[in-house]
Amino acid sequence: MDKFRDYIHNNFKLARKSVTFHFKKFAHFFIVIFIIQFLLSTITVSLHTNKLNAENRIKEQYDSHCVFYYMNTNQKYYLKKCATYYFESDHFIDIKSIKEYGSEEQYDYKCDVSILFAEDPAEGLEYFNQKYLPKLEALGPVYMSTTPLYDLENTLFKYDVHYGLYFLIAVVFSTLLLGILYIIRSTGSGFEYGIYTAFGADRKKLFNTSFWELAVISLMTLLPAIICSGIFNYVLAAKSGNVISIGLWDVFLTGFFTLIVITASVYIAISKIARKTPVSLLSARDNSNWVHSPRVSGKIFSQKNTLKMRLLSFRRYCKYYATVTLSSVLFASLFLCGAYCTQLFYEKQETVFPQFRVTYTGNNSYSEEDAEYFLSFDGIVGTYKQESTTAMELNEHILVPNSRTNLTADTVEYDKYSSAFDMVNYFAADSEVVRNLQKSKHTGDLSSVLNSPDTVIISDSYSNSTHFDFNPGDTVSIAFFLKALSEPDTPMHGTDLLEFRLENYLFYYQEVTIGAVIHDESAEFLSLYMSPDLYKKTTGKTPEYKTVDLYVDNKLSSKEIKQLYSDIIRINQLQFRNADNSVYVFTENLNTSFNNTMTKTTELGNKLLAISFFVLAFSVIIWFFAQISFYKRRSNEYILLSAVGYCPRDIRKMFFTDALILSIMSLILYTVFSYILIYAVYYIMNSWLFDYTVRYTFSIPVILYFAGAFITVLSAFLSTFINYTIFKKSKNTVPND
Amino acid sequence: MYILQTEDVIKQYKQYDSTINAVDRVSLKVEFDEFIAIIGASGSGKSTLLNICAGLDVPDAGKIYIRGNDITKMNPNELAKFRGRFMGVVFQKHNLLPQFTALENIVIPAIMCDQQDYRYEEHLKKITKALKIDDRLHHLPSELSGGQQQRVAIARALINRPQILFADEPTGNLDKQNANEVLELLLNLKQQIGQTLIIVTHDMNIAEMADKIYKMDNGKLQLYKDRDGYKRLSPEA
Ligand SMILES: Nc1ncnc2c1ncn2[C@@H]1O[C@H](COP(=O)(O)OP(=O)(O)OP(=O)(O)O)[C@@H](O)[C@H]1O
Ligand SMILES: [Mg+2]
Repeated sequence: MDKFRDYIHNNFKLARKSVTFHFKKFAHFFIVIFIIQFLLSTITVSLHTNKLNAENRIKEQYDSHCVFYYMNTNQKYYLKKCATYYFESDHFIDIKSIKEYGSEEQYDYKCDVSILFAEDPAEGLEYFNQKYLPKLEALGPVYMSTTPLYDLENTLFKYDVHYGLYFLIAVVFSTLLLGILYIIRSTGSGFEYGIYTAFGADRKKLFNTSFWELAVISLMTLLPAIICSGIFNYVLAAKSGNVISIGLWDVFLTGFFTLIVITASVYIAISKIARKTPVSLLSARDNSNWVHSPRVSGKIFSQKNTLKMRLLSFRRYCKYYATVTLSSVLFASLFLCGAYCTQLFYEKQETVFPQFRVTYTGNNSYSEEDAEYFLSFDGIVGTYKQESTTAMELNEHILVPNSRTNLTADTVEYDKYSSAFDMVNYFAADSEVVRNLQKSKHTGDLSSVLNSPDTVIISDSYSNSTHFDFNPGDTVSIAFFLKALSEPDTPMHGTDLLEFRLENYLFYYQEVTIGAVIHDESAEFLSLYMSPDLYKKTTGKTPEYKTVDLYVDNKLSSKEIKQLYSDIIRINQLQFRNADNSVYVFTENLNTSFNNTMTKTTELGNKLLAISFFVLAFSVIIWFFAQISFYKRRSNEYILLSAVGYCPRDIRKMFFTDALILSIMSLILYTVFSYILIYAVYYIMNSWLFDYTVRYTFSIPVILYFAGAFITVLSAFLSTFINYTIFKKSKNTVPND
Repeated sequence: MYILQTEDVIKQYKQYDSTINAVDRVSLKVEFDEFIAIIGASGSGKSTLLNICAGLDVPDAGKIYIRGNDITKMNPNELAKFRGRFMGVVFQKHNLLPQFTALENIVIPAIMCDQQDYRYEEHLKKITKALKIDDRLHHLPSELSGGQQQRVAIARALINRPQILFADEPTGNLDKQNANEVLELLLNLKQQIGQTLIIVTHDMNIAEMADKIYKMDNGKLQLYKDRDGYKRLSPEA
C-alpha cells in the first residue's frame, strides 16, 4: 500500500511539474480535456435528468399498469374478487380506480377498471391471463390495454441504451481527438520521449509519464467542466420544463470516462512512439520527423515566386500537413454529418405513427362503413388498412422495361427489353387506399386505378431506396403462375430463385398501364396497387382487411387520447355487439403520442446538434494546436530568413500564402468528406436498419454546411497566420539550437 | 567473454538512388574495463556506430552482443530496460529536458528504470561534486553554460552506474582544463566500478589516454593504436 502511494505520489509530482512548467504547451490539452469532460458530463447529466423526468411523468400520468375497459357489473365484481384471490396466492393486485358509466341499477351499466400489479407487472399480467382471463371473458367481452407504467422498466432501459450509445460516440470521438493531438505532438517533439527511452524507459514508463500529465490536467478541469455543463443542461431543461439533477454520480461517471479516454488515447499515441528508435525520436527537436526528404534540392532561396516556394515547402512537410488537414477536416465533416443526423432525428420525429390498432378476429373484417365510423370520432384523422400479397410467395413476378430500371435493382434479365422482378407487394386499391396515397409524393392520377381495370399505381422504391424510374403511361407486365415444370433441388433465394423460376415455370403475362407513380416510399418491397378484380386474378383472394391502424391528431394530449380510446371501445361495443357477446374486435392503444412527447422532451436532437458543434470545436483545436506548435518549432527558419535579408513583408507574404493554400485545401476536403459521410449515413439509415417506417431524405444542411466551411477555412487561415504575429512579437534574432 | 562485441554491423542511409554507407561491416570487440577511443573525420559514421552499439538505433545487418546478449534480437521494450540497467549515453548534443532542473535531469535514468531499493544519493553527490556542478543543481538547463550543460549530461549518463558508457564527444563543449578534469573523473570512476568506456572524440590528447584507438573512415573501422603503441593501418583494411 505504501508502495502504491509512493508510486502515485512520484508520478503525480513529475507530471505536475511538467504541466505547470509547460503550461503554455499544455494549454491546448487543458481546453481539450475541458471540452471532453463538458461533453461527458452533459451526457451523464442528461441521462440522469431525462430518465428521472420520464419516470416522474409516467408515474404522474398513470397510476395503473392496465385498464379493463367497459366491464359489466359481473365483470367488475369478478375483478374485485380477483384482488382477494391474489392476496391468497401471494400475488397482489390493486384496483386503483373504477370509472363508471351510468348507475349500477341500469341494465347497460359499464365501467373502466384500472389495475396495479404489486409485483413485476409482466409476471402479474401473465398470471392474470392464465388464471382469471378465461372467466372474465366468459362474463362479457374484454378490452384490456396496458399503460406506459406497465412498460416503465423497458422505457427506462431504453434511455440507458440511448445514452450508452451517446457515451460510446463521445468516448470514441474524444479518444480520436486526443490521440491525434498526442500523435501530432509527439511526432513533432518526440525528443522528450527519446531521452526517456535512451535512459531505459520502456513502454509502460512512457505511458505513465504521459498518462499522468493528462490525469493532472483532467483533475484540474473536472469541476469547472461539470459546473459549466450543469448550466448548459439547465438552460436546455428549462426550455422543455424539466428539472435537472447533478449528483456525485455524475462527477464520478465524468471522471471515469475521462480516464478511459485519456488511457486509450495515450496508449494509441505511445504505441506509435514506442516503435521508433531513440535516435529518430531525438532528432525531433525541430520538425525533422515530419520532413519528407527530397530527391534533389529545389532552388528554394532563389525562388522569387512565394507561391512556388511555399508549395515546395508544403511538399517537404506533406506528412505533417496531411495529418493536420485530414484530421481536422474529418472532425469538421463529422460535425456536418452530426447536423444531418439531427435532421434525420427530427424527420423521424415528424413521421406520424398510428395511435390505435384495431384487429378483427373470426370472420369479421374491416369495411367501408367501419372507416366512416372511426373517422366520425373527433381527433381521429386517418385510417390505414393493410392487406397485401408478395409476388414472391405466389411464385410470380412482374416485367419492367429495362429503360426504367436502375443498375442497382435486383432484377433478372427477361429479354432484350424487359427484366423480371419479384420483390413486389400487390395491394388492392379502393377509394380509401387512394385517399391515403394522396398524402404521399406521387406523379400521375391516382384515381385512374379505380376507373380502369388495366391501370395500376406503382412505387419506384424498395428496401427504402429508389431503384426504378417509372413514368405514368409506361407499361409493366404482371406474370400469372401456371405450372412448375421442375422444382429446385436446393433451397434458393433472391435473384437465383427468380432465374430458376423463369426457366422452369410457366407463366402468362398481362400488360398493365401505370396510372400513377409513388415516389420515395418507405417500404421493404415495391408496391403495386391494382383494382380489386385484378388483385383477385393475381392473388386468387378477395381483399380482406384484418387490421386497421388509426391515426390521431398529433395535437391531442395524452389525457384526451385516453378519453378517445375509451369512447371508441364503448361505442364500438354498442354497435358491434354480437348475439353471443363474443369478442371479435380488439382495439389496442399503442401509446404513440405519449411516447412522442416523451422523446421530444429529452431534447435528443438538440443534444446531438450540440455534440456536433463540439466536434467542430475539435477541428478548430487541432488546427490551432498543430499549427502553432509546428511553426514554433519552425521559427528558426524565419529567424534565419530575416537574418539573410528577408524583410517582414516577405515573411508575411509567406505566412499568408501558407494560410491561403491550407484554407483552399481544407475547404475542398471538407466538402468532399462531408458529402461522402452524409451519403454514407443516408444510405445506412435507409438500407441497413431494415426500418421501413421512415424514408430519410438526402440533403446537405445548407446553413450548417456554410457555417462549418466558414469555421474550417477561418481556422485553417488564422491558425497559420497567427504564427506571423507570434513571430513578429518574439525578440529572437539568433536561431537557437 | 567480451562486454561488447559487434559482428559485421552495417548501417546504410538510402535516399532514392544514392546510398550512404554510414557504418560498413564493423566488427569490434571490447573487453571489460577497457577504454576505447574512436576518432575520425566528420561524417565518417562515428555517431552512427556509437548509437547502434548503445542500442539507440537499429543496424541494417549484423549482430551486437552486450554482456553476451544480442541486443538486435531484443524488442524495443526489453532493449529500453536493458539500456537503463547496463548502459549510459552522453550525446553529441547535450539533450537535456528544458522543463527539469539539472538535478532532475540527472536522476531521470534512475526514475525511468525501476530498480528496487536503488539508492543513488551518495553516488549523486560524488559525481556532481567531481563534475563541479553541485552548486548549480537547482537551475534549469537554459540557465547553465554550454559546458555546464554538457557536464550535467555526463552526470545523467553516470547516475545508474552503467557497466558500459558510450560518450559522443563528451568534452566537445569544454575548455581544455575542464575537458581534462572530466576525463579524469571518468577514468577515476572506471577504476572504481570497473566501467567500460567508449568515447568518440576529436581531441587527440584525450584519445591518447585510451587503451585502444580506433579510426573511423567512411564507415569502416580500423585499429589505429593499441596498448603497445601505434599500429600501422593496413592499406586495404
Ligand atoms: N538520418 C540520416 N539520414 C541520412 N544520412 C544520415 C543520417 N544520419 C547520418 N547520416 C549520414 O551518415 C554519415 C555518418 O554520420 P555520423 O553522424 O555518424 O558522422 P560522425 O562521424 O558522427 O560526424 P561528426 O564528427 O561530424 O559528428 C554522414 O555522412 C551523414 O550524412
Ligand atoms: Mg557525430
